[in-house]
Amino acid sequence: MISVSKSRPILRTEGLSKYYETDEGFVDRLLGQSQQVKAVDGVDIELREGETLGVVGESGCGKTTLGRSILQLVEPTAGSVYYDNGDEEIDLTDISNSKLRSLRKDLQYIFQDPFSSLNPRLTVGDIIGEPLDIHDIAEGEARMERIYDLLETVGLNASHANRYPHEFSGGQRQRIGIARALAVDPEVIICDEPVSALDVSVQAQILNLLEDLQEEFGLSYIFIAHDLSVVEHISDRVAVMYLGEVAEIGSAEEVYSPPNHPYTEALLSAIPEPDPLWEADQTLLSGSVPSPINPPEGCRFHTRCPQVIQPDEYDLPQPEWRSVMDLKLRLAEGGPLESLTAVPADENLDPHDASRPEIDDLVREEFGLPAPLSDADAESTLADVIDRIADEDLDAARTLAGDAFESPCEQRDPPLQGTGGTHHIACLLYEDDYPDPPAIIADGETADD
Amino acid sequence: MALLEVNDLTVNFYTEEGVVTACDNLSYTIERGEKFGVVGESGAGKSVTAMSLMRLIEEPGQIESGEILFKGENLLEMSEEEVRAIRGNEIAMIFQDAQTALNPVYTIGEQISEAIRHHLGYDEDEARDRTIRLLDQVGIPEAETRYSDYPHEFSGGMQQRAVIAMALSCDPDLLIADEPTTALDVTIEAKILDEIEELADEFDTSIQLITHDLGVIAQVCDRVMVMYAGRPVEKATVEDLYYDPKHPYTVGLMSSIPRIGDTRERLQTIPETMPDLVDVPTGCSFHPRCPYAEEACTRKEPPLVDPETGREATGDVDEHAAACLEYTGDLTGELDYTVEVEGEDPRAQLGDQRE
Repeated sequence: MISVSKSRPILRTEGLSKYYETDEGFVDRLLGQSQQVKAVDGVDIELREGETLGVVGESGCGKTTLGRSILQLVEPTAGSVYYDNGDEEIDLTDISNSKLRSLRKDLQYIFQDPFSSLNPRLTVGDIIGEPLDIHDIAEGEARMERIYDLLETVGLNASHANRYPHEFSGGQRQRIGIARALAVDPEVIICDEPVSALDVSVQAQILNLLEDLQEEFGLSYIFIAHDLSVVEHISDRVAVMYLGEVAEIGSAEEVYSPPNHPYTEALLSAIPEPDPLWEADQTLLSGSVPSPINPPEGCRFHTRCPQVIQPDEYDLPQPEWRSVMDLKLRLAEGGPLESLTAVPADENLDPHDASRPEIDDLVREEFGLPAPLSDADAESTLADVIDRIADEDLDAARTLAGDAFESPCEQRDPPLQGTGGTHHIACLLYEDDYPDPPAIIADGETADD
Repeated sequence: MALLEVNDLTVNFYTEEGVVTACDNLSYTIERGEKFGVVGESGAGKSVTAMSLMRLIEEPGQIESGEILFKGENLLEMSEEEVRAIRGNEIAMIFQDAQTALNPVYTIGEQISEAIRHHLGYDEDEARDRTIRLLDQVGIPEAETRYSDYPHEFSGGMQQRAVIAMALSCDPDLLIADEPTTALDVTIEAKILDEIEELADEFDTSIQLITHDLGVIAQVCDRVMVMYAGRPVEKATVEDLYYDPKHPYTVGLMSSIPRIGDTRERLQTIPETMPDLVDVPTGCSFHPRCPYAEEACTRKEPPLVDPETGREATGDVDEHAAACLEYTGDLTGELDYTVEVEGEDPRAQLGDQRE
């Protein structure tokens, strides 16, 4: 590993945001039905010279959009990207196109799909030679020499230069993509899922190649991937993203060893281990990723978080509180009565005709709520909510549950804050008001789905 | 009698480049209630085995020889009509890409109840009830309201659940799952795998799980077959395979996986890539990539044998078999790797160390 210099970061984002408009058609625009998809929302990250910064998260968390808006492949909605070329810090969002174009020599991108990212009509030599032509780096004999060199650097043969992309396997194509990125002698490469389309044995070859190249050319990488084990292997520091925001960032060790963000914990525990006797203590998340069009208020993870905080007045075991939250959130979605009840075991039972005790059973079954709840206050409120559900007065049930079961996580958006070292985390559990979070997390409470 | 018995199955594809033998003399059995894994990299012939079971091999592919006995009857000798009564009913399949497996112009509920009406002869209302129950069982919230949603209104994980519900709709005896979670996020994958396992136990269904992910196999399966270039190279129970792998390819696969908490600076790799099946290397097809290959490996094709005795594999359920000349006494050197299993640490390291 190249030692990380303490100097200025080579690349840094400040409040970087990218919103997409959902109005796709003329009619939507006419009716003003435009909504914003907050793909990336106020991200601050730093990349130091010679290091690899991993960016992980589930699909739709904004990791690819982040990579693309850093390189201005999509135009950011707000925020800045600073690149330090050694002499000065340049804001990439605030320079002319021609200046940006010349800076692309320093900033390169490797794409996920080795099949669609190479022009099928160009020979491999011309694919790698294109950046040399565009930036006037080499011509004629020198250009060919450079292409042969690059092919050999990435583990291919000089003789491959005259072949076309379709003649190569996925792993070889990814090597061609890497050679193209290296052609201009860059400082920073953003690798967007470079191995996710590859077989495991080939994946390991490409990961080793990227590490070798980093050492040889002093490259800095932003490595975007959904696979936490791959990211841990290659990264010095890791940023975990959720719904367009950074949930946690720190050295690989800090992020991967507890205590960490409940979201990171869930991601880690979900990885299937190649060990048949490994008794997984998996943390399964409730629900699915919310839409980034209207991300949840407060902490964006509160709709799924197993560690979501209870208000002071209750003292429920964590899984029970999670179930209560699930009921409340389902009510807030405004679905019909059937959306709140389990499918009855008795086929002839229609929830609309069911008695109060039957509705009680069905609602508790749907959300895994014990009868009664462990906390008397919470139980009496829940009973009131179920009364209103049984009366089919869902609006009243919604209001009551919304007021009575409100988590601090919904009220306040936790900022990214330091916990010591280089580790930063965005979770209310780590704020001073909530003194003992690590204990809660270390217990490894698992929430039922 | 085993539920499924595949004997000497050979499938060829007649392409312009030449004849591709996607499955070469493949034999395996699946017992009732058993979870059987097939693992290998792309091009190993995993999916072709599944397609053969469903009799879905199409031009230019052709099943050349062998037999597929399902409950004692040879699927390959049945008429198209007989196969159709079994397909989707007694043998069901889950595909990798749920989005293309679902018809976009029918609602989710209608697609599932159609299968129930067709195979089980239920009327509209009964089929609808059963469908809602199934959707609920596979973990789709608000099953009744989502019955009339179209596939595009479902997320990727929900679509895969719907496909699982469809596969289970007629109580199949055998469920073939081809990379069922590969397209999903790890948090969703964990839940879907749990559900497949639970449902298989509940419905007493056998599973043939096809995947490239050794982690998924370890979590779900009882027995595994490792495939390489259309041939099985190792068959064993999961414990034997992971703690005592006998084939160099299996060892290579395991050591190339990055693991959390792994401190290795570099990953062990298998050099090169899987050969083009048009032109499979002579002898052992793995020899160009094998660190222990000798001259003999280029000439003689290794049979599947018991590594202890070197006798030909019998196909017994608990048998550990590997196809490497090491076990037939044809090699002069040794397979020089060791497997480390750290018993106490749950995140046991399983790596090999070579000199």
